[in-house]
Amino acid sequence: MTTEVLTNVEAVRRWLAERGAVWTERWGPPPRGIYALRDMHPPSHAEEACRQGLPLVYIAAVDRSGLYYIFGDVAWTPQLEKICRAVTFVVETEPLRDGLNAIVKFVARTRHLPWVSFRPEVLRLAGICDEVRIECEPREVWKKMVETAKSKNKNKTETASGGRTAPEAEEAGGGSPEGSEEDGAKSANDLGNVGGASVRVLHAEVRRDHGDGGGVLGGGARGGLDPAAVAAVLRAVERCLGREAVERLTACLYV
Amino acid sequence: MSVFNITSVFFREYLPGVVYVNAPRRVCAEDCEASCVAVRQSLNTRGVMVCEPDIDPSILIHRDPRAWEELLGWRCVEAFLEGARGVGVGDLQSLVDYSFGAPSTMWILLAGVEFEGECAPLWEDYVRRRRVGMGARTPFPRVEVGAELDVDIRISPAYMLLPFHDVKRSWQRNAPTLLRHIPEIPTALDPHYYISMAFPPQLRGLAERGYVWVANTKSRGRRNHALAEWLYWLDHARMPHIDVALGRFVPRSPLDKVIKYAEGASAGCRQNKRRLNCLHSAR
Repeated sequence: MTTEVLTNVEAVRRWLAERGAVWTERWGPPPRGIYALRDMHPPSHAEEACRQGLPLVYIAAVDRSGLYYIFGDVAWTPQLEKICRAVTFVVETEPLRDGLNAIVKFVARTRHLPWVSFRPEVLRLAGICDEVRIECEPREVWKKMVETAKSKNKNKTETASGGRTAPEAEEAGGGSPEGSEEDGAKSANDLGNVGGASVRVLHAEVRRDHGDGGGVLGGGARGGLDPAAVAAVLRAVERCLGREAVERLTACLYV
Repeated sequence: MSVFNITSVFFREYLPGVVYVNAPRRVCAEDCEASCVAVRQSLNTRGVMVCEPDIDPSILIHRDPRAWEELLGWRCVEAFLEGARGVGVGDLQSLVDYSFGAPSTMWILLAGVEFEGECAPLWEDYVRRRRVGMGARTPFPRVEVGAELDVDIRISPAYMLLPFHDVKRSWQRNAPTLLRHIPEIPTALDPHYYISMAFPPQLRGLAERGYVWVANTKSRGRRNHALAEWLYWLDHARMPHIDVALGRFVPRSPLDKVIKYAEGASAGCRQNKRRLNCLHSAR
């Protein structure tokens, strides 16, 4: 069963070892520092895991000046001390950007978190904004891009389906351009735009995953998924479950 | 090479309850060359980077390396560079660019720097306590312009040094006009670029009448000093009070020429007192 909060000590340990990281591991709450996630879970979300005897896992990246960047799902509070155990992995990052970058990506991948879940400052320091700039842009920019992309996509789908409406085209599975490599890339971009700004993450993530040697989808957007179908699903998810769900889904699929 | 490393000193001092250690000791780099010499000169006896700035932290959004050199001095610049080296900053220009593009990250990068001198309290407040004065720094001369604007912006651009999400309510309360057009100030990603695009054009247009004119218009009984600062900052990517102190204020209208410069005036440690000697009333 997947718990609401990060509890898998072994997964963190294994990942750190695979990265060739040097770390210390201790039982106890994280030190004071900057929490890397923008919105933490309330302590109540940790209660179930704690009742099962699972520890809350924190990664505390420390820079040269002794500042800690805390990665964990629940902001530690004294009230948790009575019911929860915590384990903290303290990792010194040098250089800061590379170290943070690796941890942010690991946490995003394992917790299926979209980039917007992280504090913009941490993303910037980790160099994520250089890789996927759109993820650090204000939401207003996102909204405008999504709206523009939606209208563009709508027009395109209508054209491709010979005047049919977009839903009809989706039902028929049409609208997926075939042909040249260029067209394929274009369709991938369109897909991204439909799903929202997070699409650009999708491409960057795919590249990164190859580098890390372990992407979930391997080929990513260029692989077996039909962009139009994915776009339709993302639209439906956005309509039914909201924007947050789209972000989580794209992060889960492609990170 | 691994991106992580840790020293045994670190374990001894910070982690008394360590139960697992995977830590080959790696202390000082053998390749510490000329650049380290300058860094060593900035260290105090405890090995902490020391800096004695002659200006308040708003210089961090002042895109003029010359001003950094003149008002911070190389001791500070070296200390700042040392702090920012971990994020790929290698020289003054890239430091200025990084700071200008991500002002709200600077308190993190400067955490290891110690401050001395007249301006130290302002820097300590910023770096250690994450506190920055909200109001305008530039004491524009008083001129009766007899104009009233329907604008509510009482926050200086310098407030972008703090992460937006940490002080969102202050923005909402004290700059609602700005937030109506820019709901989320991107304090960590090129705020100048984004705000330049989204700033209401009708307000940008006011700059043509001069910054002093804008500063002396009133909104609900208050003068619009902060709005004038925003306009100047958007136009020049520099803070007006620093330009005034350095004699580089760029007037936009004849009225702006009432601003006079003081010889060798300290630029801006007195950010909240509005009594810089360098500015005189036009009356």
